[in-house]
Amino acid sequence: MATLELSRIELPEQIKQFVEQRRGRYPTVKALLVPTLMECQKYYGHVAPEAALAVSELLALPYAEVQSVVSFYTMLLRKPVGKYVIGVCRTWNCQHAGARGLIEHFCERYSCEAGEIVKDGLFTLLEVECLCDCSNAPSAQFIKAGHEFKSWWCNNLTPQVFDAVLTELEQGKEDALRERLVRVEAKANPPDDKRWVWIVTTNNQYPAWVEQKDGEYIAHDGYGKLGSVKTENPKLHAELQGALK
Amino acid sequence: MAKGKPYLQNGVKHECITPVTTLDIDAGIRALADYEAKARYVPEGSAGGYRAAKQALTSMQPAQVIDIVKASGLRGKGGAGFGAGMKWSFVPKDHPGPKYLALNGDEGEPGTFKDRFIMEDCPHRLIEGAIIACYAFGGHQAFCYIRGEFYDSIRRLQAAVDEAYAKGYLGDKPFGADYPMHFTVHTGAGAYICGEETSMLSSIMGERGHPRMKPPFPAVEGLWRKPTVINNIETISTVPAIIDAGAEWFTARGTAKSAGVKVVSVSGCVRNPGWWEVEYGTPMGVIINELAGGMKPGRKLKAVIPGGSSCPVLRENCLDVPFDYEGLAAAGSMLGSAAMIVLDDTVDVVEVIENFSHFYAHESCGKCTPCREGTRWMLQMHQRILAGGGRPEDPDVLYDATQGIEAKSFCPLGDAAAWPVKSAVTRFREDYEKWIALNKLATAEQETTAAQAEAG
Repeated sequence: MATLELSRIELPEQIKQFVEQRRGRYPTVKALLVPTLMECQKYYGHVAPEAALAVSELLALPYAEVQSVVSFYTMLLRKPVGKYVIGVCRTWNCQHAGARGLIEHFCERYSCEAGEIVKDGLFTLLEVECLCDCSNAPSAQFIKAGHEFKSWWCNNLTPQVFDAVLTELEQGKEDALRERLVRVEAKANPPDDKRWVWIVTTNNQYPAWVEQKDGEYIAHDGYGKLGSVKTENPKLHAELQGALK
Repeated sequence: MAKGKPYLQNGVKHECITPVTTLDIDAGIRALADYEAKARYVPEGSAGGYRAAKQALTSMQPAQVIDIVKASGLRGKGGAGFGAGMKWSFVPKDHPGPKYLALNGDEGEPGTFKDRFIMEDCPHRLIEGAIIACYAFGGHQAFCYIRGEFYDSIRRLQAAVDEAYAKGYLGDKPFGADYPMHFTVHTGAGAYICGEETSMLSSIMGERGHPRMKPPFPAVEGLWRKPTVINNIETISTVPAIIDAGAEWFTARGTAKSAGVKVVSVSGCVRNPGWWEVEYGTPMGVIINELAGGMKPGRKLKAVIPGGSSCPVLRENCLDVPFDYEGLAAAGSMLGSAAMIVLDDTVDVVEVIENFSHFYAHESCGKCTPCREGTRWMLQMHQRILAGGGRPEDPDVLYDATQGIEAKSFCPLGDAAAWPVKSAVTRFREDYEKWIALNKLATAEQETTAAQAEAG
């Protein structure tokens, strides 16, 4: 009979703490299985058999049961991926807004297929089902696994913006995934005679009215986010000034 | 419908139609201090977050809370539209063991983007609603199941929960009342099926996200076979306002059978997509043309999928249909999760349905045969039609396939996969016939060329 030969790995302290903090909340420890596997996914970038074994020992569950759960959930990847995982939504709203073109653009740029690791382990593009950000189609999510897990929305993407992000990430620029301006257009059905615009960025679409003060354009939106953009995201501020002229 | 009152659009107040803003998403109230100071239940005053929860726990009987919510006619906003107060009253009162509240934040229906904004921009409203709901049916523990992709929602809701614990609004004695109340954020890992209520319970218990047989209904046997109430995020976030302002305030909005307001998310071929809170009964034309900015210049409306990809497709003549459960049912569709997907005249319905079929084939959990096999067959047929291999009998065969899935699958995912196909082949048969005619033409040409080659 064939036996499973797996090397032992030690789960990082943060995952052990995650489990310990939540044990008391559930009547069975098994309830922690999916969240714990998600923590592994966020830490390692995928759930290798060794990690699944370590989780099965941590939660005192059969290894086969852990693997049955890993194989069910789409986000628990079983193969290694690049440093940045780019999940591009392929469902209709995004597809209609150009997601297919983005995927083809990426595959051409790196001569690859979706799912492959490219650029010396820097990127993996995955086609994912609806990310439920359909007003910002085409929608994509950048994910960086590790000790400090990070995720960014990169929505309303055009091939140009996508290229700019990829190039800056290749150059190792820290703020490559900052909120960027995609376009500004006039708002349909403005509520009054102020200058109403529709500001589309890589995070969101903001209806806002624009005021000119001391030679600068100020966009007023309800989040107050665009009000503080000058100090928080000077590059977006500069892009906005150019577009609002 | 009074014009000139403020409504919300992606966080900005506009002058328009809806007089109610039960959700304080406008100010992006993420911190507890903000919520306590600024949260408003009604535009005309009554400020103060957590006031309703305090009132319920310290001065009301659980039965009173259920009565108010029942009287308000609040219906579940996740899709089925079942009365929230009614659901709570199904929980056996004399059950000796623990009872649970499971909040469904597994927002995954294509077209839907409403719960995320609540979890990210006003998480305390959700926690407050959960406290009130638990108190009403006698639960002490709420689990909020959020889909794994919503990293921001998970982080922000967890931060809000920590704040509420630190302030003593959650814990052993919330608001000084002798009623322990706990709230746990639980993450999913990318499975649409876990938005189905019993699959969500399986997932919370650490299993593959497979649906379970009903009955017993979750209200009697749910998580760990204990009574469990399952509510949508938006439903629960509406509860504090109802407790604060009263049932009449809520029933004054909307229609007789669909009381109150609903967050509708509009996407697709409109100029300004986004979400809005509207009264039930608002005509679809108002939502599409006034709120979402109408169609892009030079385009015409072709079809609307009114409640997310699971709902039957409506033709362009649906603009006068009132946006509520009854109105949409009469028009031959469903309100679902109120995710309106708008298609214009450049869109081919066969391509849309092919895409949705791919979604359902991918997301089918594989437990029952009609759904596991049926979704794949429907996808393969659509792929063949789009690859130029359409046959004259295809629309009828597709219709037949939907009849093999609809109401025969284990859980509603099968219905959700079948309805858009069924409605498309009946209401947009011309789109299918266009592809089939193209194939016929190509085949005829091939035959002519072959015959000529033979003759020559």
